[in-house]
Amino acid sequence: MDRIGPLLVVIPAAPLISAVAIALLAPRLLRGIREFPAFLTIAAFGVSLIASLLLLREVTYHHDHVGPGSPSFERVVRLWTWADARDAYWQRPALPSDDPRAESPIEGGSRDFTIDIALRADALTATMLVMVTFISTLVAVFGMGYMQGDRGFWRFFAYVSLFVFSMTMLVSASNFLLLFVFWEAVGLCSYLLIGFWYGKPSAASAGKKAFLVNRVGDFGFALGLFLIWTTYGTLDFHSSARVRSDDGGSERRILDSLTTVPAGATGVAWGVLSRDAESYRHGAIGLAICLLLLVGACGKSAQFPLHVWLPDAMEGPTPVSALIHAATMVTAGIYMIARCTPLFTASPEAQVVVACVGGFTALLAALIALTQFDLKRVLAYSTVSQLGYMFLALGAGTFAGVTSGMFHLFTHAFFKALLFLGSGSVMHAMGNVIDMRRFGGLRKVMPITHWTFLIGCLALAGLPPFAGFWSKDAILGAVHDRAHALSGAHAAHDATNLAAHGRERADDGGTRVVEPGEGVWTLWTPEQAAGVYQWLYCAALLTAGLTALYTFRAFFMTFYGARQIPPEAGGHAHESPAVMTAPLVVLAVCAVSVGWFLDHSYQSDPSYLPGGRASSGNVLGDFLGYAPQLAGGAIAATRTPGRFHFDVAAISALIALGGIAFAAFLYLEDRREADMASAFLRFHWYRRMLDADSIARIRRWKSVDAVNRWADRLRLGWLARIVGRGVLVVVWVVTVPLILTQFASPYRLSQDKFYFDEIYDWTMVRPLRWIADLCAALDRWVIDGTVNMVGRIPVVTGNLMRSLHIGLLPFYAVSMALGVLVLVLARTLWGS
Amino acid sequence: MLDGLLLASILLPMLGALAMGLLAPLGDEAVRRGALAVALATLAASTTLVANYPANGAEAGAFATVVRLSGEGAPIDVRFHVALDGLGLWMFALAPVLLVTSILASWRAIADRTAMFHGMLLLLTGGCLGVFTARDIMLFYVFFEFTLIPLFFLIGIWGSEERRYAAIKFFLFTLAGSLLTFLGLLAIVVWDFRESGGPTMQFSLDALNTGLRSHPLPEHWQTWIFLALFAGFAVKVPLFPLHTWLPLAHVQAPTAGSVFLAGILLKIGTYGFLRFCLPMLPAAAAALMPAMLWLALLGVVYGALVALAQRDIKRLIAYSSVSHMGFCVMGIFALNPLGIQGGVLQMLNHGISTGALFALVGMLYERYHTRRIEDLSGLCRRVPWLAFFMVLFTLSSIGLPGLNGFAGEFLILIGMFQRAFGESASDSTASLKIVSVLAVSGVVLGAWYMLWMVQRVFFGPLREPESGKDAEQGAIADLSWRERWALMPLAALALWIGLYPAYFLNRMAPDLERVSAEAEDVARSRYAPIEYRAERPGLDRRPTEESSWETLTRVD
Repeated sequence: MDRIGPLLVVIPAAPLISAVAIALLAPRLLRGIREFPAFLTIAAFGVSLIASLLLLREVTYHHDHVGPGSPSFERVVRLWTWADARDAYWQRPALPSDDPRAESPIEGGSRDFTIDIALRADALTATMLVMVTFISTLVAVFGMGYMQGDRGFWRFFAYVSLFVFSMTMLVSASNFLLLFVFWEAVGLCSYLLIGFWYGKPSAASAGKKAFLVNRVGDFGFALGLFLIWTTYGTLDFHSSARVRSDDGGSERRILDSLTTVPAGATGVAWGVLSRDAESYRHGAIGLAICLLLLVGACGKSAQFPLHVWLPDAMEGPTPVSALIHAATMVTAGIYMIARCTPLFTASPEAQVVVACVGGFTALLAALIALTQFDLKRVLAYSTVSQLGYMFLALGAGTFAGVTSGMFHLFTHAFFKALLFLGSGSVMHAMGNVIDMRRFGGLRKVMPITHWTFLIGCLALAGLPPFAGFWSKDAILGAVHDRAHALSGAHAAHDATNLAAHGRERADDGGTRVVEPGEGVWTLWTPEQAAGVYQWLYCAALLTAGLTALYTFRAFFMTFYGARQIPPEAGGHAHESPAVMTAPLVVLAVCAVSVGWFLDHSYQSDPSYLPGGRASSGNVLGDFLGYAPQLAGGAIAATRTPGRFHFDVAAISALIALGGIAFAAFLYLEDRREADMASAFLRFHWYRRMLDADSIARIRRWKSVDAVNRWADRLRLGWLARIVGRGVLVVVWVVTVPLILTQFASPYRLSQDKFYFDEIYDWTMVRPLRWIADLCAALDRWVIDGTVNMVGRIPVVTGNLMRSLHIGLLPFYAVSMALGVLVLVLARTLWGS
Repeated sequence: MLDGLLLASILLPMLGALAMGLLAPLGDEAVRRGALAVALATLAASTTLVANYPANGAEAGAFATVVRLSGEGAPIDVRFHVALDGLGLWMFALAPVLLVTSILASWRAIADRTAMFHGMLLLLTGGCLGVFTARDIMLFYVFFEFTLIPLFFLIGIWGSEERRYAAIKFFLFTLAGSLLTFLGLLAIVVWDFRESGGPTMQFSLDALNTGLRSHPLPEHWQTWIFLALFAGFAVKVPLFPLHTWLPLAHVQAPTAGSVFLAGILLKIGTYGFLRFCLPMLPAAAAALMPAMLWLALLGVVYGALVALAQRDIKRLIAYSSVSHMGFCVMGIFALNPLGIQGGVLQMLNHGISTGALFALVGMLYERYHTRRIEDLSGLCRRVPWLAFFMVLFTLSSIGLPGLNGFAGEFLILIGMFQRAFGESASDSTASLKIVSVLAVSGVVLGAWYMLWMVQRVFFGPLREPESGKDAEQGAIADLSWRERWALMPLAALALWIGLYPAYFLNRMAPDLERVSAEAEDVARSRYAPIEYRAERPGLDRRPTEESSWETLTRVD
């Protein structure tokens, strides 16, 4: 008896039922039972969590029983058919392969547009489901305490339930359309929850901003999706076969894995993500698809240049920030790119772009986080930065890269949720004050929050043995290896591969290198890409140091230093109730243990799994290796036995320690160093030279004074004044750029988030508004004016005619006679 | 039995309109109840028909009623012939729903000449039902023009301040266009008469369709006739730049008028393109396809941009109609099954969400006597139900997945991409790639202006105008049950289409396929890259099932 189908349905169904039940019952019927929405939500999430764990067990069970011939496992369950148009798309047949325009053979013929509401179970989905349901259960428990007494109590739980439903559907969808549907649905929930306190204008506009920025990302995603359809003729991840049914008709049957084509199948439609590696498009169209998907991922996962919405999203309730804007929804982009690995391995340029976006965002967000004073915003930028890490890992494009990205996603969910919930606990105690300058020295007031927050910070900073260390090290190692592999340092290794896989190299003018395991490079040479990866590796190391610095800056400012409690706390600042601290403790345990629990690469020698595949030394990595998208094709060729990078780990741990030490130096107890640093970075020394006092001081200098008096005596004061003014003008001309740079001083740049909001406002939002106003004016005056002018033609002609109707009988008679004359003349002249 | 029901559902509102005159002496309340009863009866009839509509389509139309209006050997064969087919099915289903919504939404708003108002509303519905079921060119045109009259009075009598100007502009604009349309339709009939050599001039759609298939119009004639039909239909849709009557008419019209105008009347234009241009003028449709797509795109983007600059909620939604109807035309002229199905589905979707939005604006105006966005803020707290429905239909209108707008827009765009990148990816239509990409940006703009409006009006700190009902009747009340019932059927439809559009698509797909097959084939041969022309399937052959699946060569 196969239990996967029911489990897959139960996991999203429980939160959906909870959402609907709360919306229907809580506001009126069960208004008396205050806690009803919270208990229902927690119960529903608990059911989903248990179902997810059972699903995980089922999937593992199937992994243990897959034969060596089929290294992957997936199970797709179809619920109903969303749309079904037969023969919707007639694709041109493939060009012969020797045709220069044929980039790769794509089958011709017509395609059905069939969109099933289909859910899938495989390693990627199971991992995501367990993570999502676990975190959401804890957040729901925390939320019960945090939202106590809010008048939107039931609304909060209804939205959160709706979100968990959408998120579980998102990770179990088995076609791009369904993925897109729930991609937007989680965006909607995020919009609703950011604007939860809609009375606050900042919250309402933050919600709108999040929705719109995500829409820009979705614009790219949608374009990518349409191109996938026009290129591959299907939107399904999985393959399906058409089988003759008993009654003579034909039915579509889903193929659970690549190898199980049923008997009597008349044809097979290969899914976008489960086809032969050779049938993926390289070149421009493949690259375009990947980059457009990346735009979508950037929107959802808040990557440069679409990262601006996430920090503003902190206007929502803090449990929401923990759940949606740290642990789950924002990782959807990572999940999507990991899922689309086959597409990305087919165009390595796209992977380089992914890595660059990730590495750059990681550094940029870390720099901004250094100077923020809002505790939640520091954490938000840190989320952006860590998501950048994950993109960097995915961009490494190797099996190790993708799995380490997913590993980091998994560990990050725990410690970042912990940090956000901890900040929520602080906020709860401080009467919703979140500015770190207004509180301090809370370690005695809130001991549990303090200790759990510390664990979260250590994990985020990446110190061994906390969770973040393992995953960050895996990422750094993967990027490092990728750079080396590309630059040819692994030539010997390549040579063996070359022999083993019979790899063929087809050089096309030195720029086009075909390697089945590596994809096709068309824009850059692998050596150039290796340089890029090397730089990204350095940027990632720098980011690691910055991460430790800003994390502990926030930690010290909040929990150390002089005890300071804002008046909003109402004089009874205290540790949060058990319902809020219990999730913190659970998450802290996870943040300590989940890394070394899963990663064994440091203790085991390179080993092999059944079927002769290399083990990555990471339980999660090996598990993910059974997902069809990672099990076969080009990505599998990059699979190497996992090894622990002691050198990388040591360097990154040292850098992180350095960052913590520097943070302690700057912010522990005495904050004067911080002021000095900011004074230096703000060019204070320079600005002080230009203010009125210093100019007056210059005037009082004896030599200047003497020159002035001497000039006056010779009646040459005017000359002195002209010279003086000239000097002043020169000084101003020289200094104005420098004065302007005070806006560009590193500190201000960081504090003002590199002015991204302002830049977007002035380059996109306002011009569009202007164009809109212009169009409205055009509509009113030009287009409608023309219409009205046309409308006046009959009136004007009528008026002209009216002047002929003067009422004199002789005039009419004469004109009639003239008319007859003209007609007769015309007839005689031109004849018939 | 059901055949008679179709006729009955068209005649019922017409006769009901007359009955309003009899009810008038009994007072306004009786009139309203009577009108609602007629509307519900019509709705029941139309729903029964739609539920019994054959799932695999009906080429000659289902539930037909034919009455010959001319003698047996008369030189002109005009019939009263109504039947339901996939093209008009869903608009036929929607009109009574919107009628119920309109009556419920104007329950309190209309106190002046109530009987006449409801009579006009019922006449309008009858006319619309007639347009979407007529199978005779003459009958179609009669209904087509007939719909103008009740709406003219609805705007002119019960409208706002500038109602006379708006009504006249609306009437003249549409009339001018539709006279040219009439000319075009007559030209088709005359051509068929000349070529068939028969003794009678056929006005029946079925006869004309078969006739034109055996002796198609020459291409230059097709182009001219297409342009003549375009004049009327494009004004109706309305396509840029013939849209300026629409915002004016919408703003001035009473709520019910706006609901019907946006919900049903605009669709007559797109329906006309589908009904006449595609099957009867396939060569012209294919030849003018790029131009039509560009026009549609202009409508989409321009409408969205102008909507962004509006300060009046009703004007904003009116311009959003221009944008959304552009999408419908784009889908239809993508000339492939997905695009056309999406276009027709979007006609229904736009009717649902925009109809509901206009009804909501009407309800808002009833409460605050203003529609200016800057006068209102934070109403979510005061009128939560109104805000809920507003957000719901806004989301449906901007194409949020799971609601109806998404299904239509997605199919349209995927059809458009198929057109630009797949089927005719040749140099001659490279510009279509720009169209398809820019069309997607229309979706982003749509989200922007609608969310901006919703955020300003319903969220943020509460601010209400002084000159509301506030002074007279105390606090503003939320939606009553009557108003909620007016919107709930539309909300249910929006959700249904969003979750299971296959139900709607499957019923109309076969007929749409038949109507558009020829134009699609012409387009495919016309725009295919040269090297593929030899390999394309014949004009009369759709790809068969055998060719449609890759043979099993890659089983591993």
